[in-house]
Amino acid sequence: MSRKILRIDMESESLKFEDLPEDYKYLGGRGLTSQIVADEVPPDCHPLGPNNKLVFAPGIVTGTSAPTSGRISVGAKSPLTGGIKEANAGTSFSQKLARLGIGAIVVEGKPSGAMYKCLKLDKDGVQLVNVEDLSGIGLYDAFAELRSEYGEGLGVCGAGIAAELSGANSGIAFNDTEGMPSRYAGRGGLGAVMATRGLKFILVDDEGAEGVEIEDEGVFERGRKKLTDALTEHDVTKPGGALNSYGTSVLVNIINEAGALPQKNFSRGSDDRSAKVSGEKKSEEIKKRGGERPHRCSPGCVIGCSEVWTREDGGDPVGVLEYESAWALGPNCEIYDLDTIGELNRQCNDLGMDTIEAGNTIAVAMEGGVKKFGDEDGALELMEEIRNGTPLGKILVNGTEFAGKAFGVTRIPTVKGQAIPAYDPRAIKGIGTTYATTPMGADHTAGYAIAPEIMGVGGEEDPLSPEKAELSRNLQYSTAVIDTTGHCLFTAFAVLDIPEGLEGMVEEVNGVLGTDLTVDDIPEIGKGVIETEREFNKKAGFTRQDDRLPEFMREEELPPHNDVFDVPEEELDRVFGDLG
Amino acid sequence: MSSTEVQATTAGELIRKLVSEFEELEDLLLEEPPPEIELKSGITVMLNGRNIRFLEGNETELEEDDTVTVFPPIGGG
Repeated sequence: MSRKILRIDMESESLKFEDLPEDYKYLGGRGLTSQIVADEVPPDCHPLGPNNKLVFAPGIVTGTSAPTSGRISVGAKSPLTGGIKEANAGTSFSQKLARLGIGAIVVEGKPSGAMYKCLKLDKDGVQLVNVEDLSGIGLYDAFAELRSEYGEGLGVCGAGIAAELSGANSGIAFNDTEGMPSRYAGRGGLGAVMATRGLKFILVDDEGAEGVEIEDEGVFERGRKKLTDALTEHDVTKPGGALNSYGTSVLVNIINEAGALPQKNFSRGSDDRSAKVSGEKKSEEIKKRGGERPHRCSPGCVIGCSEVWTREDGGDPVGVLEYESAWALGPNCEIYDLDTIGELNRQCNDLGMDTIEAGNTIAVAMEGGVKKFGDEDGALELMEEIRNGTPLGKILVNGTEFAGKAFGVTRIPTVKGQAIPAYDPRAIKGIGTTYATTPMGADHTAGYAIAPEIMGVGGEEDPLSPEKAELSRNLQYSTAVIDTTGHCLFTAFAVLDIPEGLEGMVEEVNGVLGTDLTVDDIPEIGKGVIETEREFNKKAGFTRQDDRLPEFMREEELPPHNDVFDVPEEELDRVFGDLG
Repeated sequence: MSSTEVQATTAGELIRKLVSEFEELEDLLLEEPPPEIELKSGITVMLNGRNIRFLEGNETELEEDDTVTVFPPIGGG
């Protein structure tokens, strides 16, 4: 069974399956979403207007037994950045979609009415059903209602209240293994693109599905074993390793020690109170109060970095508190209480917002005097403003840059309109180079230089050295490939250090597609994806001036190392060297 | 939880003394048994927030009130 594209015109409510074109045959995940967006979306269109399209695509090996490969990519022109966007999440939704033979869902058209729809998809076909009664309802309740009505085991994705407000900070939520809306294609406002198409939810049932076609089972199996061995052997990804034991927040202490954990809207790089929100502390609390750790975002993950965080009494589960979320909603707002951070994260999940953008937005609002830094109740009140759709809420739901301008703040930590994640680029310059140059806007996952700069994974680089063009470029190319395969980015920790693991990943792809790619082909494939994305951005009006960090990071020293971001502009332009 | 007091003038000397005091650290931190001090891949030793690999390595000098931190292999995102 060859893969299909499911195309949905929300204006005419027509649904049709198309064969995956020959040109797209070897694409999946990010490679496919970005190619379809580049081919079909006018770069100068309004992101929330009728000409934008929303594309969902599981990775090439997603839905197979390949380890840690449950990623779904979502692409469109971003309302937050104005450029091309791909955001991905780990969820069984993606695996179910792939097993139904769906290579991509393309959602297009903009209906004139405001009736929200849910797309239901199973082996027998597709249909759109009215879900207007789920409008204005938080995603925890909405996901529970949908699963209760249509089946507990279904894959669910949805856009929340933030998307209904057309917020540039509105993500797309996917079910975790508990069925909660905690796995997010969070960045870039893709939820608003979905909601403005009149689509609120997608339900996927893969019962009786034929599964993913594998061209060469032997090659695939050989690759799967090599990659699994690498993941279970590497100190970072193995059972009982750092990610499995403490989750992504294991980074809090080391990044704080390195002076790169932004505090109080990027005012300083460390604070002794950060230990209160570390992965170690969180793990200890989960042992005491209940919840679950380790946990998996999707079946078949051998790393298990996820968790279920709960209230103090062990009830009302939130889902995972990632490093990025714990930082953005915590130290960046001078909040050092895990329970408050948990409740803020719950609000983000429920409203349908990206936690990185939301935390940065609260921090600039605090800098602008809307609330005081460290005001835990005040931060939660800001979430209620969004839920109630007040004028203040409508400012906040549009993200960090919009809110910063509204509140008269000049220290706005964004690149291409997207908020900067949890590594201050003045103390770790390779990640800053990625923030500046990725087509996505500030995004640590686009070229994760933290691996060699802090962890000693995939080589060793001095974080304070400003010569980072080559490092960032190579990482961005290899990341684009991992995002295309459907593997989690964390597989990179193992495959960067264990060559057989990387070979295994390529063999898995060869097994599924019947290709004869080698490890040497990876940079060229990644380059192709990035070039497609940057070409879109260029046509959308981006220039090299958009590949820059905020002025304050180039001029204001960051304690404790008192460094500025001093990667020269020529070095930034050398990463890709393609913009005028 | 254990504690100890050692005197050291360089990072390498400090690690050597710690490993001698707590034998279980040897396997966790070092590629080879002492006297050579070669940190395992993924082990990070910081002096006041700077990785000693990018200072003077084992020869990095320590001063009164310096803070040395040791991290196991860590990853995340």
